[in-house]
Amino acid sequence: MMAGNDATQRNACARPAVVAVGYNRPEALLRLLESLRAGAYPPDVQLVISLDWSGDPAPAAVAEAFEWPHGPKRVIRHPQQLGLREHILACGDLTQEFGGIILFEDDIVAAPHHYAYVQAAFDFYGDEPAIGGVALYSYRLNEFNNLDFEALDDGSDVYFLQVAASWGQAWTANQWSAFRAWYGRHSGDPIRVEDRLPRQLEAWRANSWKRFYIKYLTATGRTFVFPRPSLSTNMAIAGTNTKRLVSIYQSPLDLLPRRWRFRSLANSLAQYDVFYEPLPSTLRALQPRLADADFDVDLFGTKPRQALSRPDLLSSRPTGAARQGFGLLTGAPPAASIAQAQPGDFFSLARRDTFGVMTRRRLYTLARASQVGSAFNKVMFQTLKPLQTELLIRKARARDKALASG
Amino acid sequence: MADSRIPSSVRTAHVAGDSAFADALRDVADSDAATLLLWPDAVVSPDCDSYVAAGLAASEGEILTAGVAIALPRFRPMDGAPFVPLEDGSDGVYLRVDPFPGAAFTPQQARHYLAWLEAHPGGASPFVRYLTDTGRYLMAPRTALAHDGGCGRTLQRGFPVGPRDWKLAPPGESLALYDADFELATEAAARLCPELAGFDLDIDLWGVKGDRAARPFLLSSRPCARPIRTLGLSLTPVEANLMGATSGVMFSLGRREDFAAPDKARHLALARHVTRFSSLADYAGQFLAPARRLFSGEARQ
Repeated sequence: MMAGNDATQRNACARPAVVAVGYNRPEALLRLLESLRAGAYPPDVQLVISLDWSGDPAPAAVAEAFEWPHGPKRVIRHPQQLGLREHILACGDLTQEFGGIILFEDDIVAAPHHYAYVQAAFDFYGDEPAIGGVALYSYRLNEFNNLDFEALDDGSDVYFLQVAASWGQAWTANQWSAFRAWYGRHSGDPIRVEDRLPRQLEAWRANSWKRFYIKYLTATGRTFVFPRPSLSTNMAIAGTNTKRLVSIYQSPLDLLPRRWRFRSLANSLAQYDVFYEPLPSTLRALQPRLADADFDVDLFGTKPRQALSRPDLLSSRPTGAARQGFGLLTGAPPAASIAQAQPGDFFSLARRDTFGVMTRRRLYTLARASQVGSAFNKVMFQTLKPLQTELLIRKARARDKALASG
Repeated sequence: MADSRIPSSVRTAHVAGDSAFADALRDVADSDAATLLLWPDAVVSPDCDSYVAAGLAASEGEILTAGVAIALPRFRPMDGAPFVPLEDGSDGVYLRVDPFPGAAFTPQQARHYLAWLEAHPGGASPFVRYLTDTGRYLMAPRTALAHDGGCGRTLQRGFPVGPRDWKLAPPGESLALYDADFELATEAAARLCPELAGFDLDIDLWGVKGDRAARPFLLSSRPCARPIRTLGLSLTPVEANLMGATSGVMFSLGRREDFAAPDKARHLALARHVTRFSSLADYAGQFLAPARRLFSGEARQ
């Protein structure tokens, strides 16, 4: 384990283009563009404003009128509606022209020093094949269950999560082309929980590019690198995928320049799977009592059985056959209880088939210990969310069936 | 019990309790080296050692730094709202809080506080009053390096799991300066929003200061009859909204006499914002929407 930067310059995209994605929200687009213009850049940074066709001339008027003092500006106006998925794929293909891009959808606001971060991250991770992309947004919330997420602090400025960033992200040409090749082979495949993916992905809309990218990450063993301080934030205004104004996705922006402390994937002690659960290898490295165990991790007790395959399980679910136990730290993410060997038996390591289902009471206890907001609301959300997911899945399947039958 | 993994490169002493803090500082003042004072029940991270050493080095010759605390409060003590400092590239923030459950002081820092205490005897929270009276701050790490075992004021916390190369900005460059009410210090607000520099103002975003906000101008969530400028609430932490990213009327800049009493609804809105509150009523509406579509006209078409 090493402190600070543990590798030197690698081959990278020196001057990525900044891509702003718009559709039918001119005010939001202008807010994004203004945050970009206020940023710090080297000379001659290309801005691309890519607009899907919506029938509303206002976004194009905003884009054409916008002055970009940091380099050339190009406005792409798609003459026909691509839909969100195809639009983002078209934007991603710009990596081949510019060597890399930084992409923001119009409900995002960028931090002033995002460009320097991406350049440094591309330098550091650009040739690391297991890195599928560079996030600018930092999660404070598990997107699949709305529980707070706080990555273990391993002394670096980054963590790794097997979820594609969509609220401010960057790709090198190589990272994007690897995804594109996989997508070309798998874009018609269903996305199912049997792929060891969160059930919610089945309910996401057909126009989501992100669910394919997430499946790509898990299928190929890749991950995104995320910054701890956020270089973008999600204003979550109503749009294609968000139906109500919410503030839960806001993440504190990094406001001043910093010397980034990157850490290689091999040396990181903050690696998470697609369920926002720490990897077994991370916990084995942190907790000597687990060093010889072969286990899956389910600290929130909500992982589907299809995602569990190892003989043992480390979970908050109840079991009567625990071989090891850990207590529950308050004011800390669940993984900290394991890392710090908190005395107790809230979390158990046992044979996978000895665990029962997660109880509301245990979930409430966990929420009270690890969540900053109302534990009751968190648990109620946990209760309602699966029902909503099942309804949306039924709807999606009905739609697919209707399409298939012509 | 104090954790056995206490720092090794800095002298450590244990404080018998709040009342014994001044006695412990007298020992520090009489010594020739910095000392980390730990309260009873303090549980300390192994990484505390490197932080304290870096913090003491950064505070050397820095008169605005009154000591180096080893824990960051997770919540604002007055209302339990999560405390999230502005991100400014530094691993340290500056607060006006008691040094609980541990802080390091140089002999010079200790002597300065004791001299002030002798001139200002009596009263509650003397250390916080000292910080306020003298314009000083206690440096604290963004990541928790100590807690009190869950039996006192800081709750348990997760500690770092790896070493770090500490970056600690001086208070004169920091955006994360907070007063005794956990409100952004005026000088930090002016760095964040330069147009505020021309006003002699108090920052009272949470509307809790009451008579402690005595300057001619005020920036607050309290309703203002004649605002000079208003700001919306969208970014987090709430102080980030001073950058003016969103229009709205949650915060007003105005003359102090134009402000009404604190508004409970606004305070609740702030609390929900910082706790990422999921409104169950809103969610139920969203939850029922697909059901409505599924079982109504859309499904029958």
